[in-house]
Amino acid sequence: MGLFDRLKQKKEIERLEATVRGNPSPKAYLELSERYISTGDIDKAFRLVDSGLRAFPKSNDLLQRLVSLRKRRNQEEIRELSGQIASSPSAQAYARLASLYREIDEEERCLDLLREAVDKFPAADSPHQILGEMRLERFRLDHYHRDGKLAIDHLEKAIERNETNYKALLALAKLLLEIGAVGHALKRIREIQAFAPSDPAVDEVLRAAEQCPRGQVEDVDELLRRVENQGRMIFPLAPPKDPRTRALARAIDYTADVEMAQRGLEQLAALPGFVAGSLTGGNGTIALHGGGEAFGPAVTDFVETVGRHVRRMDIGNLTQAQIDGAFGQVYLSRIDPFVLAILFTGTQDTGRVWSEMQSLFDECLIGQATGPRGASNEGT
Amino acid sequence: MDEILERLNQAVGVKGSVVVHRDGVVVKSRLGEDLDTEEVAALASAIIRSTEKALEKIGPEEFSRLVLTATHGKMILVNIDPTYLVVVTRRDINLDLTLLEIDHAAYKVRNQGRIGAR
Repeated sequence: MGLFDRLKQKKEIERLEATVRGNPSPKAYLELSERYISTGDIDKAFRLVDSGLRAFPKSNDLLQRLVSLRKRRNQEEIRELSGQIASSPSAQAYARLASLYREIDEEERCLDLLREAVDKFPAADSPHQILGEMRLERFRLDHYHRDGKLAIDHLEKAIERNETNYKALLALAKLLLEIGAVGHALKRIREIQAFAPSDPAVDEVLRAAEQCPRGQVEDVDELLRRVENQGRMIFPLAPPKDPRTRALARAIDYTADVEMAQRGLEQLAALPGFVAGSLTGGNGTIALHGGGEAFGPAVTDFVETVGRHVRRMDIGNLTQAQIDGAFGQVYLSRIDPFVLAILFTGTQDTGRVWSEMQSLFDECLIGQATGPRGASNEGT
Repeated sequence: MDEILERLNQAVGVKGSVVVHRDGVVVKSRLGEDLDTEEVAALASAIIRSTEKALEKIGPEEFSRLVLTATHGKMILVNIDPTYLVVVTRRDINLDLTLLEIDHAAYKVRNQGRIGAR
């Protein structure tokens, strides 16, 4: 690149930086990050997009940019480790590679590697530790009994294979405490203290455990079912992470702007074949256009019942559904606790419909990053 | 039908497939190791009934295809009266391509049923 082009690029970057400071928007962050990428500064682009995502947590474009930047940053190490696994595999290489894939949201690839590692290295603790952590993350989000049980199983297997696996012991101690198995949690804390007597993270968990009342029930299975039924941890310690990306370290609470939602539905009604649309939330229908009163409750019923069955399939929480039939199509998109549903006659351009629905969510849902959920006001 | 499901399972991202009746009785199953046939069939049956119940509030109850996207995977149910083809996939699939494979498999299963009935 010649001197003139470099100067031009520098001016352009300064202009975009001023826009991000003075008039921030997802588009501004994306444009500036492209400039940083074109200069080869991937780390700077990553930090920029990360801060953009904290300012605009609902922006899918920023989210996807962050994930792709993470991939680029991790690419070289992924290549090296893949080569190492092909030529001289080790449990550590598998675990590290699986972690890298997990970081860039390639969960399926991560799981494949961990299953291979468990088969090839049955005495290794790290694959079980990572599997346990992944299940724990799902359990903290969805509170589904099966995830909690598998988290405990894998973490215990990791500990059986290596009784000084600090990460597995700490994760297990925290999980047991959060579900109300205080006695079991204290046992695991003492195991860590045997080899790490003055660890600050452990001391913090111990202090939290000492403040929790010992319940009459310490049956882990029963406590996991209680958490599932109540939809929350008994003694929550950490905020649930957004399942879409590990970039967001804080939970997001959404509220809906009713007027914007109604306007958004009226705009969607302009799509050919539109029959009805509704936005429902925790307390019922928030906005409705066409379709009559039955539409909102029908959507709520569907999400509750089908959502429950989907969780039992071990594929996580329902986020979207498309129902096709002789009547036309129903599109359903969910950002908990809100569900947007549209009924059309005929067949639609699927990509366009999902994009319009996402735009409606972007406009009418206001997201607030929060700290630990219900930590101060949830009891037993 | 074995061959049809085996071929479908080779499509990128497909974890397994099963043909079930509406009440959950399994006709043919080719599910991956992590998936329990009876459990998948029972859940598919519950999903079919729940979907029909929701649809009856807004009009016709029957659906031809249902695509469910969840945080860690997808599930596709295709009506091939009197049975349903149920396919479980990874989350990160190219849905358009996979749906083509699934529709093709459903067509072949449906036609195989017709040929068998003659």
